[in-house]
Amino acid sequence: MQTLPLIAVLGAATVASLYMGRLAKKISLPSLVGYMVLGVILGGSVFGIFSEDNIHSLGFLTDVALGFVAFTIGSELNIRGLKKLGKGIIYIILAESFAAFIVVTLSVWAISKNLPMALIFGSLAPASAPAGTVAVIQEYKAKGTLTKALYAVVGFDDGLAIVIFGFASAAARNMLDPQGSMSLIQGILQPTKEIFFSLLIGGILGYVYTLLSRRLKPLTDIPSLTFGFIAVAIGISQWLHLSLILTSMMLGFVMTNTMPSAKTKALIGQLRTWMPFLFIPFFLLAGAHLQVSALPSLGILGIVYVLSRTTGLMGGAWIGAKAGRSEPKIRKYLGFGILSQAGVAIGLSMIVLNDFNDLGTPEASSIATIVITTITATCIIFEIVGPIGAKYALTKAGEIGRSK
Amino acid sequence: MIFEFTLLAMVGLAVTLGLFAGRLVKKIGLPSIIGYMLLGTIMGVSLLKMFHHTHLQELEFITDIALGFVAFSIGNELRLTTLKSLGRSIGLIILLESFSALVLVAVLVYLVTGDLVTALIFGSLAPATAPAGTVAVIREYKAKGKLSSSLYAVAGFDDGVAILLFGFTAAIAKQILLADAGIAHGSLAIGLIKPAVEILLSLVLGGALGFVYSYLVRKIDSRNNIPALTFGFILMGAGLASMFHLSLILVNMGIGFVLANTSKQSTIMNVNEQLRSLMPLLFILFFFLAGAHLNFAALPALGMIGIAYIIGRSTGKIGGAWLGAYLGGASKTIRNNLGLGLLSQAGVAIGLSLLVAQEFTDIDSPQAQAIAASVVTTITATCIFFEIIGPITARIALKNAGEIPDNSK
Repeated sequence: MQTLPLIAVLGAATVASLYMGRLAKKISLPSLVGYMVLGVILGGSVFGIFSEDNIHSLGFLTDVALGFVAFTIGSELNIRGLKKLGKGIIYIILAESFAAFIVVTLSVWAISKNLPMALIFGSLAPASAPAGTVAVIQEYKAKGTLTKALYAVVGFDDGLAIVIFGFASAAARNMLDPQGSMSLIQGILQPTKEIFFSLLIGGILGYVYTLLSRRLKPLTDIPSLTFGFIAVAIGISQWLHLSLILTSMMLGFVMTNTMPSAKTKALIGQLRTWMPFLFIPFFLLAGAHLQVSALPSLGILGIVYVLSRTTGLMGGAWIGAKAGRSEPKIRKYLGFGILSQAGVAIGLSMIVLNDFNDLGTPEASSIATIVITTITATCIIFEIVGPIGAKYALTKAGEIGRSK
Repeated sequence: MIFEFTLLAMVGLAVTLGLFAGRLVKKIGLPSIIGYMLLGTIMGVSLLKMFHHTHLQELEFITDIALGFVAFSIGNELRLTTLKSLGRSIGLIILLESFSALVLVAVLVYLVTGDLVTALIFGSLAPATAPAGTVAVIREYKAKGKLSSSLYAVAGFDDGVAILLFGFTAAIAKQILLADAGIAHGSLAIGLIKPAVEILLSLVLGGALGFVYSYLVRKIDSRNNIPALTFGFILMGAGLASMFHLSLILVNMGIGFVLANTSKQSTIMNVNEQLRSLMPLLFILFFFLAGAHLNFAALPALGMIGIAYIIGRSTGKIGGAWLGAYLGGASKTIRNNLGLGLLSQAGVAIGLSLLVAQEFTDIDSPQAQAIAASVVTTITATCIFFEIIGPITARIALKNAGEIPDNSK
């Protein structure tokens, strides 16, 4: 008997996910936790119905979904709204990212006494996964200042995370490199260039998008145009090794700030109907990726990372909000909404693995291995805790309507 | 790896440019899908080669999904009540247009080649229609009326009849060939039963999926979940069809048909409304890829057989539909226009011709080898013709029948 074709597996998994999502909702968890759990069950960890091969060939789905998430974030950030949030939002982004970096670096250094390794873990801590937060916001149709602030933070936070990672990992590599050939300047230049070009390309695409959309009908043509541009943005980002999230976010940001608001509203409304349906394969595959067998390798290091990252993000958000005089509800709850961590962090740790193995010293290789297994394991925790935290934050802030 | 990344960017580019190519051809009064196809042809294997065969193979799943959606929406349009009001003419039309296409092509090809087996093989491929072109045109112009409903019904069920006729005729042709070559041959019965089983199983599978789907749609608490549910079932339909070698079109049509005939009007409207925003994107991708596949290098292979095939098939479809409508007592509008809406031919016919080539290369006779070598290239060449002319004539038919509202030019 022939094996079930991938497309049938995906279809059946999509339908099953819907019901897992409802189940999760019954015990007041966000639906996406249900999708992920099904992914874990179907994936390599338990049944292996989604083999590594299958997951790999569906990788483009994850990218497309992430592009749409980032685009949605950008499209929610109109300049007027951002001004209302005030400079508080900038303080929050800076404080939560740096606090996570510093607290994790110090904690890991305290238990391991290994500075390069501590720097690497610290540099991975700021990266957050926007999809979880955005999915929760949309599922519960949350509205309000905290919601706006969350969109802004999980979006821009990616840029800062890349910068911090670029600096710190360059510094760590320098310490480990026997020849010391890698210059720090390059470590600073590389991520700056990456961010600059992501924003530039996203901006240009966004501008062209608005120009083109003027002559098109909102309901039939614009969704296709949007898909086309997001696919182009993702494709170019991957090709030039830019940040997919920043490029797509910039696309949405320029769109929302240059297009007439009636058209933007119609488009966002349409995206909302299709987003749930992108979230299902996205989190299903995210779940299938999770190697539950990696959990035991968590060890003390992993526990320290989880605790210190959580403390850093929440404390940093609190300090930033305080310093920027944000509303009390933002100060109190924003930190809960930004805990998700997934693909970006794992992607960055793969870069570490690559770079450090190139150094060719045993110490570098062993650090790289520790980093990738620990980050994979901690991501499992953050992927599950993150959306639950986000829902908690939005509920507490009173931004989730009564009508579930 | 690099090439995979660029692929996504190129798909995005194709969709964006396709949108404008569609508008461009619409200005000169052609359906948008012609624009998508032309763009695909320009970027595809024939000209710029930005999309080459490996790319197209990797993107084939898009074609399957789009075809699944098309078939689902056909089934969804087929209410039993509408079918009944269209009367028995629909049945007669489907039988006669398919049958006369087969007979006329076979006769003309026989006159050209003097070879019975070749004539039967080409005849057997003639009934297959590509529903996507017709459906896309109906949707684009928001056509409504008896001709539109009839076209949905005919373009959909036609696939079943085409498979049957192909199965039977190809089996007979093979028997004749084997007997001529003096090779021991299996029983004809198996060749005849196989296509019937294929259709039956397709309908059973589509019906079963359709009942589960309709049940779940009715029970669903949030409208937001309908697109995912629909998408999931169409994927399952397409995947299972390819696994058991069934007809993707019939299976997915079955799902839509059961929904349309067992659910409340409001539920059906709900599903349709959610699909509507996705269909234009799918059409762009589908016809772009169809265009990218078109290989103009195949055109010289058209030859005399190809020309006979084009003439025979067009006359057969138009004449057969006329005769069926006449005998069934359908209105004059349907009689005169329906055949024009059925000329598209694409994937299914090429698929069947590949099947022929595969079977015939295994037969140890020069005649079989010759047919195997020529059938795929000839059908590919004629499909180029029918893919371009089909949507254009479909639009003419709908316009003649007055089923295109004035405000949707």
